[in-house]
Amino acid sequence: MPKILFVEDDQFIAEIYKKKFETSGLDADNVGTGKAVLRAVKGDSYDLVLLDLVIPEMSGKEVLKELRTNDEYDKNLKIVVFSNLSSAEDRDECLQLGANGFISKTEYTPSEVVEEIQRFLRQFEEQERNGIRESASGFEGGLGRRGKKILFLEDESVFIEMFGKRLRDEGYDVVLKGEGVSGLDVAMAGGFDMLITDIMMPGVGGHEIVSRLRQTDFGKNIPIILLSASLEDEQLSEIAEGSAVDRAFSKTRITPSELAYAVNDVFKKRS
Amino acid sequence: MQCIFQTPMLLWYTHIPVLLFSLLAIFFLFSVDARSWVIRHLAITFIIFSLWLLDLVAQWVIHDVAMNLFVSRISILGFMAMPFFLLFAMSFLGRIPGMKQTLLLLAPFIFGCLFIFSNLNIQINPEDCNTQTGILYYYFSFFSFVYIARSVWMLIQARKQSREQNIRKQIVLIVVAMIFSVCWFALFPFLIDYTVSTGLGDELSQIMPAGILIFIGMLTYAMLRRRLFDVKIAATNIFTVVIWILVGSQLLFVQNLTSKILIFATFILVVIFGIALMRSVREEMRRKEELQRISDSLAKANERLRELDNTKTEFISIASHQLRTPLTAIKGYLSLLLEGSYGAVSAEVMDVLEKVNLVNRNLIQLVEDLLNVSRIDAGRIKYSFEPTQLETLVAERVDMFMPIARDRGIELGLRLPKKALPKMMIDPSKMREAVSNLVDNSIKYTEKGSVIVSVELVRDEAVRILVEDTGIGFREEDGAKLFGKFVRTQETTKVYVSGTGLGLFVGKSFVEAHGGRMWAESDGLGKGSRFYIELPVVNPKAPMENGSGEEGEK
Repeated sequence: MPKILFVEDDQFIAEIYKKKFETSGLDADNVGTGKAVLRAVKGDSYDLVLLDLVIPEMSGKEVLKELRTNDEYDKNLKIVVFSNLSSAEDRDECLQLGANGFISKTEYTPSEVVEEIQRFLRQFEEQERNGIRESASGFEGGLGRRGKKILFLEDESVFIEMFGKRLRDEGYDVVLKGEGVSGLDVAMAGGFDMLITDIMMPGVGGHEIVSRLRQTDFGKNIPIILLSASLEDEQLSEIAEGSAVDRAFSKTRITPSELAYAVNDVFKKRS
Repeated sequence: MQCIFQTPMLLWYTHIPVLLFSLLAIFFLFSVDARSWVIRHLAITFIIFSLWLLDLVAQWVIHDVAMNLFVSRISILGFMAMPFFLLFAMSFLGRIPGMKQTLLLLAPFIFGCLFIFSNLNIQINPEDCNTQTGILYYYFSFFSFVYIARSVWMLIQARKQSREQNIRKQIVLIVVAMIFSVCWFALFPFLIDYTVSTGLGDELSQIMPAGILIFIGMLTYAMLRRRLFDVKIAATNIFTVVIWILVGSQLLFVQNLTSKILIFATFILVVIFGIALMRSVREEMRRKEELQRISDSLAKANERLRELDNTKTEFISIASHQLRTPLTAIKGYLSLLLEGSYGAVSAEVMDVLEKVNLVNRNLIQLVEDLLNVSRIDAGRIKYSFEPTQLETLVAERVDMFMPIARDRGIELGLRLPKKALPKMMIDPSKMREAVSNLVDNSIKYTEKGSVIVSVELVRDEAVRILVEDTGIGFREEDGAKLFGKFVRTQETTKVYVSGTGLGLFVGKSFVEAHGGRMWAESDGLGKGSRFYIELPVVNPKAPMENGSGEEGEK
């Protein structure tokens, strides 16, 4: 479970945040002052520090400066500034001082704060892995690392590139097809480990491809993920609960990384 | 030679009034519009029927066999009304037939007329004075049927295509009148033949003219429906003139001088009042006509407005859907860039990307809001009601805003009822949004002071959520407007320029879908506001689940 540290001196509010973090699967520690932050960071390793700027004993900016300039502290520690950054100079200054991100206090309710934190955590994690990938063998080295082949059917080129690239970076061998008819042919020819398909496509639609595939021997049990731009959330979960497909997502709500994680998840469940 | 048969008793009473009625109908038709071919064709049809009626009377009255035969044979000309009815139908639908077409249509009938006096037509058996129908009758019947069928078909087709209510109603009347007449006049000969033996046949045949009465009545009404005002004026005029004649003519019969003077005085009075009556009726009718016209144009304008509103909703829906794709692409690529999928990125660039990400998120949220609004408008929102503890829901929402409120230096308080509320059938996500909107708004528009949220049971049958703040308030006249779409008062735009102005609209429709109400009060600008949500404890829009036990509790 990812571990985070946040600063809040009002006990009541700290409780609210802590509860929120915990229900979202994050381990959260709370301290009340700037100096306490420095102490805590020395004692424990955190995936992220949510640093309020206006705190007692030592201001957020001073804490930030200390964490970045003093060699005693881990340079790689991720710090997200939490404040009313109404002035661009404030934001710039924190950036110069080495903050990794910002969350505005007035715009976000606690649930939204948690969502942002999670996004940051994912982002930081991916940055790590991409760094490793890049230094290891350049991006092409990721191809087929996992030994699984995915057939990806999607007619909008923007999404093909976005999702396709991300899946390849994740280590999958990806075959891309841009419309239904050739997509159906390739699907029926077999030889891949998962099908991800859009529902609305020119030629043959995703629904039909899925049902045709399920009638074949090799296609009966293949994991399938559906993407859609136009169905509402309720309908999507209905489709997912019906057993023909493993997951269904709305194209407009999922980021490439989220799709990659879903793919990993499905493969893991299946094995 | 003479045929002895009884002239039926009621002959004059059954035929003459119908004849007069028919003449009256023709008069009214011409008085409304003598130049339209629609009217002319219909009038000719009526005239033919009237002559046919006269002929019927003649058949009963003339006892000389040879004359009777002549008159009976002529009666077949009654069928000529049929082609004119077809011409009327064509004119009515706007396809006024030219000379050539008219002659072409009349041709079969004119051809048949050549044989009127031949043996192919009716024959009278001189021994018993019984009539025998000739082949000519069937010939004319056949063509009449064809023409009637054709006109009915044309009218029905036209009705399907027309969207004007008036025309549709007119067509229904005409078609019904026609079909009724066909059945009536087709059945009657059989009925008469059947009952001739019993002697009832003659009496029965007296009822036949009633069919013409109904036919003429319906058609005249169909044509004059919209011009009844003119008809009423004409009727008043005729009535008045008739009274004048009746009163005035008495002068001719009365000898007594006193009576003459009295009648003359009465006559003058009747003339004066008659003129006044005619004038006032005309005024009245003019006014009603004007009103009718205005109401018609209002109805049309209303229809157009409704279409426009639908188009607007559809547009919002389509536009929002189209906007989703590019926005998602931006979001996806931004996330990849931020994650470093395209290579390491400097901190400054990273910061810029974060800003773009935030802005994009707001844009996506706006599009979602618009889509929601269009879905609300189209009535396509699905609600999933479940037993909910309302206090928990409200408390959780208030917690959400605690940090923000504290940050702005505003007190945010929650007051819950001492006794726990019964569980209510509520769609939690929708109600959460409605409550959030209120609290969010209050915090946004309160510089200093407090926002207090209270929940209480009201009158034992409803729960009231009140969000009261010490913020900018609003004018009394703006109170209802706040809940419209995209509405911001002048004051709110000064404080908080971003924000779509949709929150209250969405919240209100959610609350109303629970059978509740949402409204706002304020003592004036700068004096704070109070926003209310009132929900019935028993949700009229949600089926009660078994075993939830709400109905017994109170």
